[in-house]
Amino acid sequence: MHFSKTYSQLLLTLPPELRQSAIQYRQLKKIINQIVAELNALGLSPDILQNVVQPPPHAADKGKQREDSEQYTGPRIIYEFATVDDHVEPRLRLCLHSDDLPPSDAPGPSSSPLRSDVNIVLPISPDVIRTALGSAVSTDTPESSEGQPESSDTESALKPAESSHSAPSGELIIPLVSDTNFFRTLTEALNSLAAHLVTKRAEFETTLRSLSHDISSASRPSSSTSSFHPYSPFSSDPANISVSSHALAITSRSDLDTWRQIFQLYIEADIFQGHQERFRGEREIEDAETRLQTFNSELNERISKGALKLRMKQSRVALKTFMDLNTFILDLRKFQHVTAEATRKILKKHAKRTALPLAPDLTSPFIIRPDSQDRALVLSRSTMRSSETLSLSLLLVQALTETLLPIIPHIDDYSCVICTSLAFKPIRLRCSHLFCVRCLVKLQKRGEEHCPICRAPTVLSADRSNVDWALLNFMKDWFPVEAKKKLQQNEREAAEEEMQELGLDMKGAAAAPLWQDNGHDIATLRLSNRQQIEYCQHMIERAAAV
Amino acid sequence: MSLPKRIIKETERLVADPAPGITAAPHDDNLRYFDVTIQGPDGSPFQNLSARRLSPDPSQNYSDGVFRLELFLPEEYPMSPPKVRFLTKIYHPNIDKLGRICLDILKDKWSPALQIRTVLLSIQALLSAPNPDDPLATDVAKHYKENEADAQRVSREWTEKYAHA
Repeated sequence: MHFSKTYSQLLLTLPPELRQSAIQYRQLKKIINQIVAELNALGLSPDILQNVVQPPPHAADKGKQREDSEQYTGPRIIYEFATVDDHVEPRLRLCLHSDDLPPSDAPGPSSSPLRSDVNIVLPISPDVIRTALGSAVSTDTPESSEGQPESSDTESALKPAESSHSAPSGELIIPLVSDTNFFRTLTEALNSLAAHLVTKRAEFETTLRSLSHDISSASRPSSSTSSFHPYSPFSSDPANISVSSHALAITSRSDLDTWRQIFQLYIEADIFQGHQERFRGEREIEDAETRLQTFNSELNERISKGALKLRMKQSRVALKTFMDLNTFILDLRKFQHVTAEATRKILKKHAKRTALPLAPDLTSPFIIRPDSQDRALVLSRSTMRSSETLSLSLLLVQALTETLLPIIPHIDDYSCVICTSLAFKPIRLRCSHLFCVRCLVKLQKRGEEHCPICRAPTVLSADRSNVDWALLNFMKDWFPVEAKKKLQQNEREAAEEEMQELGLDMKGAAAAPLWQDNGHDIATLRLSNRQQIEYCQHMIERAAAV
Repeated sequence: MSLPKRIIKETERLVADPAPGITAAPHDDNLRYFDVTIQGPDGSPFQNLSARRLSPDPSQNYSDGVFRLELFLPEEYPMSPPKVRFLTKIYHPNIDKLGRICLDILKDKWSPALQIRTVLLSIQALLSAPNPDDPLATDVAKHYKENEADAQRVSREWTEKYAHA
């Protein structure tokens, strides 16, 4: 399939507002036809040009060029871009050398294997060149006015006798009108696209800010209500801490847990960028698209099953906006890809059809240079390494994750490294490392002296003064569901352990509710052996009482 | 006894996002028992060079020159360390004929903050840095101390002979 067809089909899958700012591939193709016609009129048909044209000189290979130019003489044509006012003007610079070479030697064999244009006969009709000269608005090179162009090969209406040997070389500049039009159209399209993208980016960021606000207020922690009572070391006994079941009543006025689940799913979906050992970096578009779809259907499935409850209208609206932003990023990536492809193809077509050398790369409007505010397009070879630039889509992904995900504290940042659950109730050792009370009690019972993280001898000296009250309140506030679950689990596990230590088997889980003695582990923390025996006896008595 | 949350989490990550050069898969009938493979580190005598020579495509060599191990998580894990043993024969001063490994973190230096993943990475590192001063296979350690180049030659021979996928 022709690219122009593929291109327009791809554009149809994108939202209209992006589509409208796409570069006009078909129109550019038509201009290429005009360029070819113009060149033909100049007598520079592609097969002639192919042999004589040199690419525009670059800073990098200037030295080389100079060296080359010393090696041969004869006419050559340089395709170059002049910057006129605000646009670039491609033109052909004819260099006509006579030097010491007698005209008769000109059609001889190539003296330099590197240059195919050495000693090529230039069959440009002098009339045409005259016309071109006449039509040239201003030939801004001094040589062109001073020395009449002079060719060693062309039979010489162009060669005024008086300048034939006095001016060793002459230059003639032929502006290319259609070609100027081509580059103007292309750069204007890319410029307006860049401007459009700046607007879209600003819109995205505005939406993101208000979304961030909406999610924050939809997922308020329980401390935002009057029923939250913080604990303190002065008023609370660590053994009596419970996460009240009104946590559930509170969550009905907050979608905290829902948003936590949504973000967790989002992180796991890893849509635009891989974060794994084996794959890091920006994903392929197809891969990202599949991942976004999977994420979306997983969300919908959970919502329809009732596993994910969006209690507040605000949350439902926010979720839609969240999905829209992600879809926008994906569309933008597609658009970026297709625009880059269209630009590359049209420049390639331009070079192929006209036999003019491939124009230097155009700076992509999607590439954001971190150190430069100036996004103006320049016709220059992009010297930026990819590591120094950032694609717009990636920038938006980062803005999205950096703004939204931190709204809700993530459990991994507050979990105990030993059991991997929420470190509730949190015990902060003297070495500042944090564990849940359950795992710490287990370590103490094993007589383990060293902190599992830093190996400092801080475990056995921990007691109830090591409860981290601030963190305990924070966890109760932000992780009410997890804290409650962990507390129940701690109690059950502690009870089982006690029974095992007493030589009883707790297989019959029916007895479990009896052991829901809050703060069980805090009670055993740092009890002497004798106290432990007494404690066990107390437990046996309670068990016997069933 | 149901599987603790920690073991489930560790297993999920080992399977979904394995460390480079290491695989670990639990048995279906015993989720505490893992089949492990460790790729010999590049530049060590435990890198299987002959396998590498066979295939010009480096990605093809990923599964070549690997050592098979077994890993078991005891009931007290993570309070006590996993039990790990080489199944592939290996000529290494800290690994004996039965595949038992002399590595402090598997014994007295175990910490419940360590994981299956970190243990396997430590074992992989042990292949890069044999420690003949704390030997388990005394004859191999003696060989390494007296003539390291020759001992490494034997290690390489064993690797080529036994360490296949």
